[in-house]
Amino acid sequence: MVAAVLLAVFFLLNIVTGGALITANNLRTIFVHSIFHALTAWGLCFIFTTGLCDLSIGAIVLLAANVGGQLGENLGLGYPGMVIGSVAVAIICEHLCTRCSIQLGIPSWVSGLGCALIFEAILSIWANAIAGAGRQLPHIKVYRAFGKFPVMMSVWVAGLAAAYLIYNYTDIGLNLRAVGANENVATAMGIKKRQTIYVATLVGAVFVGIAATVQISYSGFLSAKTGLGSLSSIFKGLATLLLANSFEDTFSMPVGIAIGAIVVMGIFNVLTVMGVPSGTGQEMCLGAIVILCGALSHLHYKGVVK
Amino acid sequence: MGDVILQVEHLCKNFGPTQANKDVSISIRRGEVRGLAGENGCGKSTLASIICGIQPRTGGEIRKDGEPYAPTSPLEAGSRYRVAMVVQELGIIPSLSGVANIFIGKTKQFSKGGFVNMRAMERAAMDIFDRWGLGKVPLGVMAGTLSVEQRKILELARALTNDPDLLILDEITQALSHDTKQVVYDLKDRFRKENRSILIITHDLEETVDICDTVTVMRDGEVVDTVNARDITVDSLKQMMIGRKVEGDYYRIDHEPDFGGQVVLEVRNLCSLDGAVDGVSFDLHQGEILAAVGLSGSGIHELGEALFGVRHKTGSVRHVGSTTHLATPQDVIKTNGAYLSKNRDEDGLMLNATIHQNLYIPSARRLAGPLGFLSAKRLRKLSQGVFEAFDIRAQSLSQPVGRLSGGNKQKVNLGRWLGQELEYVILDCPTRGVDVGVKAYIYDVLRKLKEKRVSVIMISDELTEALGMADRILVMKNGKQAALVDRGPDFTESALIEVMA
Repeated sequence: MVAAVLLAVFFLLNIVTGGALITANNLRTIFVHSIFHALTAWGLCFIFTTGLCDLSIGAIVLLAANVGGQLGENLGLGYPGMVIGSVAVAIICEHLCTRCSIQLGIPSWVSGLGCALIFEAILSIWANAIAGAGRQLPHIKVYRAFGKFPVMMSVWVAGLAAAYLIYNYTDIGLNLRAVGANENVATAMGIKKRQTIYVATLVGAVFVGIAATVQISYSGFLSAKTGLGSLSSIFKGLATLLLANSFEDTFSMPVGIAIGAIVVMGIFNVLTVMGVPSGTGQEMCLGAIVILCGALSHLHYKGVVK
Repeated sequence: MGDVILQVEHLCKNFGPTQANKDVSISIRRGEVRGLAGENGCGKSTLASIICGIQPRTGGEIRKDGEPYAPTSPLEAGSRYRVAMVVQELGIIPSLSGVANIFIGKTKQFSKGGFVNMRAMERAAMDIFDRWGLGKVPLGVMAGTLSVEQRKILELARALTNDPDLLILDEITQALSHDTKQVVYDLKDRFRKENRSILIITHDLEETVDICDTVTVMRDGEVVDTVNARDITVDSLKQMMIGRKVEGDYYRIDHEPDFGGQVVLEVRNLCSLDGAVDGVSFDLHQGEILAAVGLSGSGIHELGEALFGVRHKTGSVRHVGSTTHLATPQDVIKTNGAYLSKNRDEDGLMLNATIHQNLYIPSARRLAGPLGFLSAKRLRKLSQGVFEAFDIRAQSLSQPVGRLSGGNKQKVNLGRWLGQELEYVILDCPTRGVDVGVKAYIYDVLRKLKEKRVSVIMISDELTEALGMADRILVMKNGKQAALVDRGPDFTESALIEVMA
């Protein structure tokens, strides 16, 4: 029903925007813009489903993308260096954050915020250090294929296939969902809780690392942020995840995320076409969309959602 | 019966200063169906949980087929020793399909290169259902969407994946309706025929005497005796459990409906949006006990949820005194109503909170002073009163509810509501998982509520309970109202089954 409503809204908005929404070029733009958020949301999906609420993902993306860019572009290791660098950094950072929560017994959102500040600071220190020598964080000029349509499309297809298969058809997919839903039952059934969480966050980190590669390859440059400024970069991914939650009765989560990312980016596209300012105006809409998606994801729930 | 399959000798289990099992010795033979009876908190579930590896013993020995037996987890008990258990509390993963729930933790047998062959898993699940005659449960849908008894059957199927030669069932039948109980009884016959054994814990003493070969009675953590089921009656079993003669009847002895003419709730054409309840209409009168009964899938539990407002509905539920239409749980509470869910642990209790917190929360608003402040003394007095009145067996009011036995949890669940001034109450399976003593107490509470002209809707999976306590019985079938029978000559089990089936 939710999907039908969204489709109807899209057709309505197409009329409102004078047919500017549903054109081949615009649909392609929406799709391209949705890829980073879909990849991030697939990563979030594997991490959040275990019950962890890691808010350091935005900072991890920035750090991983810059390390990947440095290795690929500046150190001449090409695409392999770029991808491996981003993914490796994402895995290390995510693992540290998860371990911090589990080993120290603190809520994951607390360790996530702490780690986000640390990762942001590392990137900032790096940026400041090289600024003294008159240099900047990596600017990608040569290795930008991951940010262009055919390769991006392939990454999206591969990402969707991998997320779908891992989530629905692997031991780790079933186990992580079990741990997230009822860890006591999962443990009683012989599932190793910690191992499952570590493996699940590793899988999630791989998606986050690839998202970082795509993002820096697409943008060419990602600046350092401080004071939890990185947090906002995952809000669209978060909205996508929440929207996918509302589709869960119809579509498996990974498929819901693919659709959700397109819907979320479609909404922003409409806002742009309608002339809503790209700064505060669209951010206000983003906040409203996150709330709306959260509401949609609990549409049939009658209790108080915590 | 064959050789001894399980020998428990001088087993002890301590939880801090509390001795849950004291010097327990029992032996179970192959092909035997053994009942384990006793009051709540007597140590039955502790014993069962030690046997299936959920918790370690403090002392004593267990032998399985003559060999030392000390499983460290239910998984090891199942896979290595072929001992499986279905626990009293619900243990499913709501966000996974039924099939995944059956094989969760054992998916490796269907995996190749890390990928699970879901079709093979589905086939294996179907084989288990066919092999043991478990009936039909939709296995492809998320388990969270299934009914309580369908989930229980899933848990049973999960236990059977170990191909157990000793199966422990901890109060499973009390979650099941009349027809689904038959599935368990048939399973028991198959087990007996195949020289496998069952240890069954149930508070339904008639059932214990009917279906078991032998019964071990426990009291205060110790074994009182093990007797042949043919040699005992329900009354003698009660006496062994409690340690004294239980006087009088459980149930009402009058044969006529007895309630006032004033209507408290007016229910008209009540339907749930998912179709589980379809066009139910009745009036609930002052001082009336109206029971709702039906087979599995009849919609009786959904009726309770729709009345309370936790299930989307159409039609009208009106509190006549205040002319309030009851749309939400808040409407029910505001009109001095209450609802107890069948699904005690998920919908009823705050398991991590203390007994004290669970008991005072529903009354907090009533006890608050003019500025909304709560007096700790008044709260303590209320919870202490309910604690004593309901004879909740715990170390103190500060103990978390999650650590209580099933029966004591139900006492907390009931006590928190019944300790209030109510006009009407909706009770979904109020005696589920409670022992004979608590059951008698609950019926007594219902009688007293009736005397105080409180109206009761009692949803029950036990026909004898409904017949014993109700003024009228609403029989439901496939979500529809099949009959509304008055207490009288036609108030018999066979007459009701005829309508239900």
